[in-house]
This record gives sequence, structure tokens and C-alpha cells, in this order.
Amino acid sequence: MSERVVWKAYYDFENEERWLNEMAANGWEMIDYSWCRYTFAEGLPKRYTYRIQLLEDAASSPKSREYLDFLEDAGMEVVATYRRWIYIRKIADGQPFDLFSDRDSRVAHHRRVAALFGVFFAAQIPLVVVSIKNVITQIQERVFFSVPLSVAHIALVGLLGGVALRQYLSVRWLEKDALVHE
Amino acid sequence: MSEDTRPLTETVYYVLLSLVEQRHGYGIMQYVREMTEGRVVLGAGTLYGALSTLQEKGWIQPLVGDAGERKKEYQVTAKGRSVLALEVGRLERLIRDGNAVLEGGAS
Repeated sequence: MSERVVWKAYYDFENEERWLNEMAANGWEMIDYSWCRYTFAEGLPKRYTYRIQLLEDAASSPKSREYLDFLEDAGMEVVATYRRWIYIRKIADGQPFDLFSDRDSRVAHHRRVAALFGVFFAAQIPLVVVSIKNVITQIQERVFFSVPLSVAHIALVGLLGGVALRQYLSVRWLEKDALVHE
Repeated sequence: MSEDTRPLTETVYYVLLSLVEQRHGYGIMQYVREMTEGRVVLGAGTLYGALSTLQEKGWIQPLVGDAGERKKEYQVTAKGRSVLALEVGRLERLIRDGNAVLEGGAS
């Protein structure tokens, strides 16, 4: 059985999940994850469906352990954990496989992800202001020494802020639906 | 103290129904899926959250399992059963009202 390591940085877990399922559809099954490093084993195409979840506590906490046991007992496999993130897979049996099946729990999860990125984004605002000032000053003085670094910093914070915004919009969209449907 | 007669969510309703007999998590998911012919498929994350909330409310309780049995089983409490009975009564009333208007030609 051959293995393959892929280094890739995802900031949006929904895109990450889609990618893992595309890999699985092509027979590459993720078996481990650590910071930006994915390990895949060659398996059978479309055998597994992958899901990613952000927990309330670190995956290693007793409270989270209990949940992970629950998932295993319910026929899922916890493939990897990283801080509060968990990677789960289940044999594709033709039944839909979603971790959340009602609006309230979906909203709670979107909110949790939005908060994670939102807090980071808020903390970065003063630093982004410094970066922007730096870029302006350097352009005026025609020394471009640290412009690339500052621009990269601004772009990164913008991307992560975008994730918070998208998750928050999902919450808003789902809550609007609550006016009509149970 | 007045009884809480607010509607239950579909998740809570079916979890309570499934726990009239004792079941573990996976058993609840299977039972609900079969009962609703695949219309309600509980997600594991959703179910786990519901089980915690219902335990806090005292509507269900975990059963003390045999040693070596890791899967925790749950069952409705007397309180949970009465909440369920109230909800079934409320739903019957909804059906009656609906039928009265649609079939009775009420204006």
C-alpha cells in the first residue's frame, strides 16, 4: 500500500473537506494530519466520505474524548485531530453522512468557526493598520524593503476575516429560514 | 408551575420517541431513520448535542451499563414521557385544525 504526503494550507474547512472527498473519490484516503501536512494512503475510490468538525474544546480534552468515542461507536472513524479540529470518515454506504442534521446544530457549528476566525481577525486589526501605514510610508519614501511582507500580512488577515464573514453569513441565512420552517 | 407546552424540535421529538425503549446512540440513529423511512437522518453531532441537552433537562437518563459495555444507553424519564405525551396531543390538535379547514370547508 503506497502512501503520499501532501503539504497544503487551507484556511476554509469547507473547501478542505471538499478536497479530502475529491482525493477519496480518486482512491487517496487521508489517514493523518498535522499542521498543513496531509498523509494519504492508496485505497479504493469512493470508499469513504470525510467530514471536518470544530469542537468546543481541544480534541484531547475529556469532554471531547467522550464525543470521539460516541462517533466511533456510531460507526465513524476519527482519522486525525488537530487542536479543536477533528477529521472523521465513514464508509460511504449510500446514506447521507452529515454531522449536523438540524438548523440549530448547524448554526452552532458555523458560529463556532466564525468566532475562531473572528477573534483572530479582531486581534490582527491593529497590526494590519501598522502594515498598511508601513506600505504607504515605504512607497512614499521609495524604499520597498518590507512591502512584500506587509502586503502578505494584510492579504492573509483579509482571507481569514473572509472565512469569519462567510461563516457568519451562513448563520444569518439559516436563521432567516427559522421564521418559516421548524 | 405551568407545564412547558412549546413545540419540540423534530430532532428532540424523534430522540424521545426512540428512547421509550433503551437505546445507545447508533441505535437511536437507526431507529429514527427506519421509523421515518429515511426522511429524518440524525447527524452524530446533532444527536450528541441533543442527548446532552435532554439529560440536563432530566427528560432522558443514561442507564448504568454492564462492565465492559462502552456504549452508553439512554432511556426516557417519567418527565420525558409526559413531555412526549403533551407533544403528541399538541400535534393531534394541529392535524384536527388542519383537517377541519381543508376538508370541512370552514370559512
